[in-house]
Amino acid sequence: MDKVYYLDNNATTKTDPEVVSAMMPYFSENYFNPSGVYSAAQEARKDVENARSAAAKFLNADPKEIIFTSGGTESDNMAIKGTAYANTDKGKHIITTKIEHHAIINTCKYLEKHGWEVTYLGVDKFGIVDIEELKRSIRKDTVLISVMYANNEIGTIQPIEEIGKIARENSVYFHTDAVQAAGKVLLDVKKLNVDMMSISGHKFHGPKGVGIFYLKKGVRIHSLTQGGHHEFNRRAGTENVPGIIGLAKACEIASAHLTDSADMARIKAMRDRLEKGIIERIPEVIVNGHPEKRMDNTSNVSIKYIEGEGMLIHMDFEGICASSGSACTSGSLDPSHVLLAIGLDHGTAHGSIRFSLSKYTTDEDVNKVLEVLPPAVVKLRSMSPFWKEKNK
Amino acid sequence: MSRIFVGMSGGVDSTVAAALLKDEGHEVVGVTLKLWDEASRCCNLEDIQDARKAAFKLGIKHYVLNMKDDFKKSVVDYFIRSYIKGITPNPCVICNEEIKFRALLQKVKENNFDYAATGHYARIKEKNGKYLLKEARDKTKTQEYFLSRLAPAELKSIIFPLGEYKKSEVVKLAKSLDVYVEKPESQEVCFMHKNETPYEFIKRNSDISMIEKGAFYDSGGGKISDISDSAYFNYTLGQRKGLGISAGKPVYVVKIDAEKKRVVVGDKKEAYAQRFMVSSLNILIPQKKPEFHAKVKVRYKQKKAEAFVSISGSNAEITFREPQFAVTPGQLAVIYRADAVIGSGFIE
Repeated sequence: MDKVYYLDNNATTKTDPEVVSAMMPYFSENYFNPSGVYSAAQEARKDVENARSAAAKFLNADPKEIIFTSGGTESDNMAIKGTAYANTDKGKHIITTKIEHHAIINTCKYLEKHGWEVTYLGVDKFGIVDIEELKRSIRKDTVLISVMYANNEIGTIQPIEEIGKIARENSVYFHTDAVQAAGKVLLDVKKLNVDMMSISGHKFHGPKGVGIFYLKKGVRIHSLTQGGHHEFNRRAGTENVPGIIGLAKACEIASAHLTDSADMARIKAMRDRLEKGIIERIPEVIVNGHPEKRMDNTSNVSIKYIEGEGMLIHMDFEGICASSGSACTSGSLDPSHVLLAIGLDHGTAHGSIRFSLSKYTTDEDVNKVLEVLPPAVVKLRSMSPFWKEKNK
Repeated sequence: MSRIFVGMSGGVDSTVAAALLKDEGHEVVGVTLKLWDEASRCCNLEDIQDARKAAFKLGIKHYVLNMKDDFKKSVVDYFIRSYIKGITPNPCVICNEEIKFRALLQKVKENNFDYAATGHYARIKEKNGKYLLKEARDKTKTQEYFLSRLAPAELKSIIFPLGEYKKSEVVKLAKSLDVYVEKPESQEVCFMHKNETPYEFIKRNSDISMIEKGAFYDSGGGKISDISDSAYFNYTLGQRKGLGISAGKPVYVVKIDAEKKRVVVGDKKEAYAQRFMVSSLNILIPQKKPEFHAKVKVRYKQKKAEAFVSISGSNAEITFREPQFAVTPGQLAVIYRADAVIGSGFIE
C-alpha cells in the first residue's frame, strides 16, 4: 500500500503491537473455552478474569461490574434497551441528547416505535448539553438519562459528573457512552456518578469487536441475549477470549499513556499546530467544538463554501485519511446531525472535515495536511458557486 | 494516458466501461452516486456494494458521492410536479442532464482529470473540432435519446467506452473479467417501488394533502365516470390498458386536462398528432437555416420518423410527414440527421 497519513483515529486506531502479541497465543495454543472444567480451561478462565480486573482498574470499578461485549454499539444497546425493558413498572421515558452516536439515537428511535418516550436534549454552539433543560425534562416516569462523555465528531466533553449528580438526586439511572473518551481522558466511574458506561476496544489501540459495558452493582437491567450463564448472566455467548485479553492490554497501556503528561501534551501540540496551520492558510474556516472542553486529539473544521466530500477525495489521492460528516456503510455522507445540532447551517456542515490524532500521529502527518489541503480548498472554491457569490 | 472518472452503478455496463478504460492504460477512478434512500429498484446499498466490489476487482479507487438533495430537487420534485400538471415526465433524461454528468464532470474539473465516462450505449465522434453525439453500434441498446440534453461543450470531456460494443459482447467481457452480476436491467423510474403507479408514488412522497382525483370524459365532452382509485395524472397519452372503464370498444387516452382534472379518452386515431411544439431546445449541431428536414423520435423506443423542423429561439415547431402516435407533453423529442443527434426539446 502507498504511504498513508492517518488522521482518522476517532473512527478507529492502529492496534498497539503489544496488544497484538498479547492476543496471539489465544488464537493458537490457548484456545480453551473458559467454561470448561479441566485445568487447561481454568487457565483460560483465570486469564479472562485477570483481564476483567484490568478493565475494572481502568474505570475504577469492581471486576463484577465489568461485562465484556462486542463493542460500543452493543454496550449502548444493553444500556438503553436493557434499562428500558427492566423498568417499565417505573415508566417509559428516556432522556438523551441530540448529538449522541447512532448507536444511542437509533436505539432510542427503535424504542419510540414500541411505546417509549424519548427526550432529546439540545446543545449550545459548542456542543455542551443544556443542564437546565435536562433538569426540566426529568419526570416521575423517567427511567434513564444517557449522555455521551465526549463527542466523536467535534470532541466536546460533557459535564458528566454534574449530570450524574442530577440523575442520582432524582433517582434516575445514568448511562454515558464513553467510547470516544476512553484512552483520551481518565475515566473514574465513581467520581463521575455513572451507573452504566460503554467502552470500545478499537478506539484506543485495542482490537475491534470487543468492548466493555460497565454496570454498577444493583442497577436493574434485562439481558438482550438469552443463552448460557456467561458474564454474570448478563451477556450469553462464549467469551471472545483473544479480544478480551487484547482489550485488557489496551487498558493497561492507555492508563500509562494517560498519566504520562508529556505524551498527552505531544498530541495536543500537534493538534493545535494542525488547527492553527489550517486557520492561517485558509480563509473562512470555523473550528467546531468547545475551545477548552474538548478532546486533545480532535479537530473539526468547517471550510465554508465547499463540500467535505471533494476535500476528502483530494486528500485521499495524497494518502491522507480524514473524515467528514459521519461515516456510513455506503460511504456516502449525510450532513452530520451533530453539526446541525450545534447550529451550523446545511452548507457549512457539509464543508466540515474531522482530523483525529493518536499517539502514532507524527509531525509528518500534520505537515502533509498543511501541504495538501490549502491548495485543494483554493481549487474547490474556485469552482464553488457559493464562493463566487460571496466574492461578488 | 488520461485520468478518467467513471460513473459506476454496480451494473454490468458501467463495470465493463471502467474495465475497458483501465485496460487501455488510463488512470481510472470509479464514482457511484447515492441518489435516493429507499430500497427501491436502484440506487440502493446493494448496488453501491456491487460497484465497490467491481472497483476492488479492477483495482481502481472508488468513491460514493451523496447527491440525494440534488436528486430530490432536480428529479423527484420535477417528476411529481410534471404529473400534477398533467404531463408525463422523463426522469432519466433530467437525471443525466442535471445530476449524473454534472457530478462526474465536476469531479473531473476539481481533480484536474481529463474525462468522465459512463456505461451508456452511445458514441461521441469528433469532426473538425466539433463533437457529435451518435447512436451506438448496438441499435437495440442505443441510449443517445437519454443523453441528448448534454451540452455541446460537455461532449468534449465525455467518453462512452461501450459505443462500439454489442450488449452480448459486454456480457461476455464481464464474465471473462469475473465482474458479471446477474441483475434485472435497470428500469425506467429507478426511485419508484416495484409495480407502483405514479399516483401511489406521489401520495407517498408529496405533501399535497388533498389530491383531486378527477374523471374520465369522452372526446365529445361527455362524462364517463369518476376516477376512484387513482387520479387524472396517473394516466399517459396513448394509454389503453388499465383505464378501468368499459366503453364497448378499445379506447385510448387522447388528452389529459390538468386544469379540469379530466382524462379524455377516444379512438386510437385521436391519439395521433402531426404537428407539435417543443421548448427548451438543446442544440448539439447548429444548423445553417432555422428550417430543415430531419428525423425525429418522440419516445425512446420509437422509430425515427421524417419531419420538418422550424426553430425559433429556444422553441421549435415540428411537423411529421405522417401523424405519429402519442406525442406526449413532457416527453423529449430528439432531432436526428442520420445517426447523429442535432438536438432535442420537450414536447409542449
